[in-house]
Amino acid sequence: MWRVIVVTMLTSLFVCLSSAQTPPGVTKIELRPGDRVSVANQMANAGVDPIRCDASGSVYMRTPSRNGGPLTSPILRISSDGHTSVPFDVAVLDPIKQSAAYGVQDFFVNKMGKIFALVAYETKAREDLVAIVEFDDSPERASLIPIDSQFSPRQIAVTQAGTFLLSGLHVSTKSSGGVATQSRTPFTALFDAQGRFIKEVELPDEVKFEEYNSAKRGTPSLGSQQAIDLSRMVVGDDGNIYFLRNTKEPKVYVISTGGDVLRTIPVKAVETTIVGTSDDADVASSGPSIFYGGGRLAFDFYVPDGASTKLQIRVVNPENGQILWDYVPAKDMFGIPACYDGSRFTFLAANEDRHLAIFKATP
Amino acid sequence: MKYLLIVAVYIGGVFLAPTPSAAQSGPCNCAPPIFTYQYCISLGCSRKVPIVDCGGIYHDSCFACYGAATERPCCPDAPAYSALYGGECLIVLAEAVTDRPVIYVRGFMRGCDGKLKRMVLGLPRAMDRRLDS
Repeated sequence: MWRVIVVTMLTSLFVCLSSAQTPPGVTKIELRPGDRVSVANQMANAGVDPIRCDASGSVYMRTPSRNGGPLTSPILRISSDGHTSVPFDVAVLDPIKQSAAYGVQDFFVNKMGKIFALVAYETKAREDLVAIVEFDDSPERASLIPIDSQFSPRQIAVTQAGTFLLSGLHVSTKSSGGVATQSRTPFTALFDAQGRFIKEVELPDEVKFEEYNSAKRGTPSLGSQQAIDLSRMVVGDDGNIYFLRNTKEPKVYVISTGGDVLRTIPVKAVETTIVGTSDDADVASSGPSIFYGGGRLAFDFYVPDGASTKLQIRVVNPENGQILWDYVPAKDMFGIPACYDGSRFTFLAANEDRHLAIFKATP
Repeated sequence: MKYLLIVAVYIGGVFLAPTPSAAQSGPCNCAPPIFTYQYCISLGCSRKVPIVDCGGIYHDSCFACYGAATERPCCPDAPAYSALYGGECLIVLAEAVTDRPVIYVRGFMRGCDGKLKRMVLGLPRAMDRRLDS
């Protein structure tokens, strides 16, 4: 009898310890045999967002290039089996190649795998221009779509109607008496398939900037700038655009194809210590990313864990923001989330031989 | 300190000043270049990293490349930067003065333990440099 009692107590203790490691209601994402795909000839050194996928499971990402910064790197299309990586370089087009400087600020990939790169470039005549480079399935076949508005672009989404929702900043600098003043205003607008302005999209409770005055140095608004720069757009199966605004308290603007804001969804972390971007460098955080798949929205969060951070993923109903599931990766399942298809997560990771790997794991 | 910790990485073969002395006398087109130290926070390391800050304005040609031979900043258990990054130089810098033109990008890099780490990169924002100057 006493043996039964001891075994029961030990079992209870084990269950308690196990549940203490994973918060209640949080499911572990385990890595199973066959979930891992090695990417041929690609080292896992570094990269910059976005990371996107298409319906066939191909992954799109950028790694730093040899001759320029990360924003000039070609977009790699990595096949779902990891066997091929095809670079798509916007400099294939002469206006970009011959520019004084350029940067791919964001890119979008539709379900069929068509790539749209949002490019800001400066001509040799020092004119700042915005354009979209649309690749026609092949890296050599691209077309330039000039955007007829001047602004500093950051995000792109391509609607199912073929129009573009672009977001960024209007920057205005004036100089008088040796003092420069600069104002920054968020700008989000809908453009047609030829890049012509259709309408500005007014986002409620949008990011605000303090006016910068060079006579008053040291009054920055890092949080506002990061909120603009680190935001992200995805397109849902319903045709709506889900625009994650990465403020300190992140939110998602649900925007129709016609450019109307339908609703706003607050984004709450699994643990509420750090949620979004912050101008407090001691708690520097990149904020969440947004993923859409199978009629659901997912967000990844990085919360403090000793000297490092740990990943948590929350899946919500895009209709009302209702929390559906919370996930954490199992201890041996490390990587950064790339995509979500409604049931399966795709992660990027590094193999022991330092090559890039793709994990496709189902909780 | 509050505004010093947005960490940027910049990788490229164009910044080839291998030592501090070479960088001081070499490619910078602004004078005088100022060496500053920032912490590489996002990788979870606490070692100071030398960077070149040309009067607070980061001209590309003013970046110095450390690490390949002389320094192993940030990742004390990494074999060497040159090995870690395929022979290329890695520049770790920070936005020391907050009105500098920087674009923030979410990114990742492989950390000391071989795992990919999330981090925020502050990259020189070429497009807006003229507006900001």
